[in-house]
Amino acid sequence: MLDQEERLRPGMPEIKPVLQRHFKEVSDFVMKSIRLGFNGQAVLISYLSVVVDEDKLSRDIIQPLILKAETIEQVESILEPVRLGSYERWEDINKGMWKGHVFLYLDGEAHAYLLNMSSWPSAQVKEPDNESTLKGTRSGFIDSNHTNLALIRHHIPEERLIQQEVRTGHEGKIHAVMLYHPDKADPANVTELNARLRRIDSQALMSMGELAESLEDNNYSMLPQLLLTERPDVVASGIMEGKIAILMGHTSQVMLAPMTFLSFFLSADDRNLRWPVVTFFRLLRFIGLVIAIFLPSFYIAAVSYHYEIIPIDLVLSVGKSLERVPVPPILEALFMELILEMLREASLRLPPKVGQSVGIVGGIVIGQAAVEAGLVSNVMVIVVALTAIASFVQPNQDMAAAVRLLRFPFMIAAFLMGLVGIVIGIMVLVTHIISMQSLKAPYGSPLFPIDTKKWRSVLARLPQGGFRNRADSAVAGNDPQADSSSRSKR
Amino acid sequence: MKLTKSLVLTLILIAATGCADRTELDESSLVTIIGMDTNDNRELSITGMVLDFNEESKSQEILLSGKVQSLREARTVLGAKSAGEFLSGKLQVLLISRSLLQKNEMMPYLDVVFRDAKFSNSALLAACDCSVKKLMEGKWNSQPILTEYIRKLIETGHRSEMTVRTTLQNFHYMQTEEGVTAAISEIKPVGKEIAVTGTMLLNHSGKMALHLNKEESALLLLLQNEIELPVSYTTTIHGEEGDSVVSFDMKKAKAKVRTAYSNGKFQFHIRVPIRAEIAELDGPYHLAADKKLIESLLTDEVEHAFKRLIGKLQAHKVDPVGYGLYARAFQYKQWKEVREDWGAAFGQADVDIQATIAIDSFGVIE
Repeated sequence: MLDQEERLRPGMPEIKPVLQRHFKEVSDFVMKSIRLGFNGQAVLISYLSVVVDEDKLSRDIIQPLILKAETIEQVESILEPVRLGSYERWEDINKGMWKGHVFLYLDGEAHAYLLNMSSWPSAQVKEPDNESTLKGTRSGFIDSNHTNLALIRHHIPEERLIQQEVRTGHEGKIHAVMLYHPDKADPANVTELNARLRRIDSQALMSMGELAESLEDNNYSMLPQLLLTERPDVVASGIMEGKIAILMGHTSQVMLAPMTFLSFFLSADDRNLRWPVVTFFRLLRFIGLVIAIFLPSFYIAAVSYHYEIIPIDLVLSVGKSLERVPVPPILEALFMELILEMLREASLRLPPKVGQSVGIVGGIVIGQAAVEAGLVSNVMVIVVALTAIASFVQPNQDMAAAVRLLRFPFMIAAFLMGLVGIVIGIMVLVTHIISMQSLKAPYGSPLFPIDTKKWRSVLARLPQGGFRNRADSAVAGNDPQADSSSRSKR
Repeated sequence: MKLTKSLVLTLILIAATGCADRTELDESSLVTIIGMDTNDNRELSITGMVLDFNEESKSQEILLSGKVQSLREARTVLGAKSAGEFLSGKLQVLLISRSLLQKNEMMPYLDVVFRDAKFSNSALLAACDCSVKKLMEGKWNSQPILTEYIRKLIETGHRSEMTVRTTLQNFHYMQTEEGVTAAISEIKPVGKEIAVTGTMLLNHSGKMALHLNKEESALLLLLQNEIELPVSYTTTIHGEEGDSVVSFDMKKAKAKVRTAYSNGKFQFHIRVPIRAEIAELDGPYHLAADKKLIESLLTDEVEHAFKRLIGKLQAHKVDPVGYGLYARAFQYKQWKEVREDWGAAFGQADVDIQATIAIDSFGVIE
């Protein structure tokens, strides 16, 4: 309906009908005519009221134009701070107005102005609910690029940060911002990410997850390859480690790339707690990872094939508890795991008040009654509960979900081939992890390619050196903290 | 896509190969004790203890027995009597009656144990100085599960230096190794309990050669350097003012062996320095003043006990300590000539054993 090349024709009587035609079906469309105070020149102001800060418009533009301006130069100086430019093509003007800009036309001129007065509704900065930490920062990202950038800059006192805007998607409608440190980020990764961003050809991206999916290296993988976070401290430390952050104005998630498999097991708290504690917690997470993936399958393998590995004291009680259950362990395990996943999913979606009853139903009915009725064995309930707890230990929700999903193929492999099946599964999984890339960086790093120097900073956290070390190194001009954590450049 | 292909391939491989030998735990009959006994014919009488997974049944184990010609046949005969698949992967104890050990060589019977990979080779081997069936059928006082009972009996017996601890794996080694003869634990019902009575020594062919009581077993373990210190040892010393009983803890003890060959005989010089702490002494001794005296009296006693033990071993031509290994290592030329029957050669050897006891302390009271 809109002619691409339709241009603005000067003169108030020309413009008004065009605007009215373009915004015929838009309920919040506002058009105001005012006259300049000093010479009575007609001014047309038009905008969409829900996305424009009307108070500001009235205070900073309309009132001064009517009351204060005494020369044409003063008019210019009133408009100057918010003016985006002068436009003649109706297409540009319409696009601008949809984004929350204000259309302003001074009668007699050949072009119109767009003023930046947009005000999108946005949430308050508060601590992200699903990434809470003990001692981390209390602010989280919101659905606004300005705030998000400010939050990140607040964490990084560094003037050299590069903030690169990328317009992409169908007709360049998607607007993303790449943020990285020029000395730390690998240029190859920057180029690659830029190229991938530009290749996106969708009309609109609703969320960061969608963007991540179109940027990921391996869409078939169960494992997350890019980090989505709502925490500015995570993004800031990521940037200082040489990662690239991607912001997209309308989501509260910020993406970090490239990621390695092991970096999904680090938490924002790791930098705030004391190192022995952190090292212990990390160990706990890796143990949790092993339990969450392998425990059910190991149990199935043990009772179906390798009863030799069960200690003699245990074999009798396990056997007695299995005797009552009519189905093979794999069905029992699948049944319990599916119930568990349903409980988890249900408690996620339900409002908190109803959510409590899910816990009661899950805990009492499934846990106790199913055992009493002889549908599942006691040991299986313990196995499933342990698995659940172990998967909840993971700091990253995407990785935790992947881990929960991974145990099903392992259970089936264990059912078919016992421990041999599990070993085959491990081989496939490890091959998969070390063969993957995130951008141009190896996903399995530093386990593979082997880089033993970095192992200690990923698997454990060692003391960074007290104030004595730091004082010395400050003289020498290098910071041990930054060195140990920064990625080496290739 | 490569991943997808390899995943599909793997799934096919798994599906094509798997499934065959899966046995659910609750559908199997896990045998935990196998008892072997002779009867008058050349048949074996086999008793098996199988774990009972049925929740309603009162006992935790089921006793099965039958007459067979070989151990492998027992699987069929006993398997026919049990509800689940008869599996021997969780075998804990293999009991052999003394009468069977006296009559026949063991290795031919145990062939299947070592040939079948699914047989548990960590099961303990024990001799039983009674009818195996009687022992396994009996209701013993401290018996939660017989398997547990016997296994723990032997293991604690070993830990307190009353007997050796021989798994099937060890037994196979001792039977196939030329320089050593086998030793297995021995148990026996005593009243309403089962008790460890000592060690049964077998000769090269696996027949019973000699029985060692608990005290001798402790010395044997000491010579084998298989002890867990401290070892408590009680003996009687014969002083000028009469006999008195002494108990002491060996804080440090290690047998050291030197070998030589002369006069057509192997020579073994064994030194056993022992550091002791007196735990009990009921004689008229001034502890500190008579330290030297007590030490020398104790040394005499212990050395005498060692000599008696070695004499017994030599008389029965068995070498459970493994002096043959020393002979092979240091006197290979001469060893080569006698390797076919080391036991006999050891019977001829000159063994000189010296124990020295040094008392570290007399306990916390003066």
